[in-house]
Amino acid sequence: MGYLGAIVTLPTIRSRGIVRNKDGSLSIYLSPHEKSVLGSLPDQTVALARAGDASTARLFPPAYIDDPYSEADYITFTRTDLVDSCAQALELFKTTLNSPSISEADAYIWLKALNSIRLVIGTKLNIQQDEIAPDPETISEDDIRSQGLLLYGYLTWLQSELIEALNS
Amino acid sequence: MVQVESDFDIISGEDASPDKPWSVIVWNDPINLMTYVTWVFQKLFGYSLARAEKLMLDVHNKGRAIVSSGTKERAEFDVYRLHEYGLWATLEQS
Repeated sequence: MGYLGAIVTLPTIRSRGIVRNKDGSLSIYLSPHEKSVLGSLPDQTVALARAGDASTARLFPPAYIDDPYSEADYITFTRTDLVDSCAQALELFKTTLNSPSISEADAYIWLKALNSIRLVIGTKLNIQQDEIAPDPETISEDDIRSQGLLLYGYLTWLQSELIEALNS
Repeated sequence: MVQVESDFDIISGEDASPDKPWSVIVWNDPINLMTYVTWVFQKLFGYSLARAEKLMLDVHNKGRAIVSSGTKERAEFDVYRLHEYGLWATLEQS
């Protein structure tokens, strides 16, 4: 709910948001508004993960499809670690969000954090293959799903930017 | 003798061929990005870009792909690492 209600219109996605530097670090070019929206997402995601909310089902998928006993063991032995690992990544993302640049190691954790947020929002929105992002100009204030899709599309763009920068 | 064989069958049936390798399977999903999946395969398994992309395309086009295999413990560990990165991974005996 917080996700879908909090988003306001984000600036038009532009050419580059993250650029690889010669020393391996990555420079972050995001507006204060973008950072403000992004900074509100980690705590919400961690809270949903710790509560075992249905929207985090994709964050913690089953390891065994046809073996409920092994699956129960897997959950017992891994779920706490997986939730903690997710929470640590989101915390680092939040605390480094306002840095002008991040290290390559931190960029890996950003990728994981952004992916975790996208998995939760995508599950909330029931995203299907190749869903088209709506035109920001045509979304009304009470169109919650379209606003959620706009945020989801922005996060997809940012994650792609990060991967492209890491591969450059 | 017959009885002994029958017991043996029951036992081996419960613990089906412990030497058979386990496969780690990654399933297609509409959220994880193709470039991200490729990146995870490279980072976690040390695969070349070409091998990682081929596996990613198998996942995308065929719905699933075997990305690693080994003992049950090894396969479960790989599944755990893939889950850490948000991929939809399961394990099953080959």
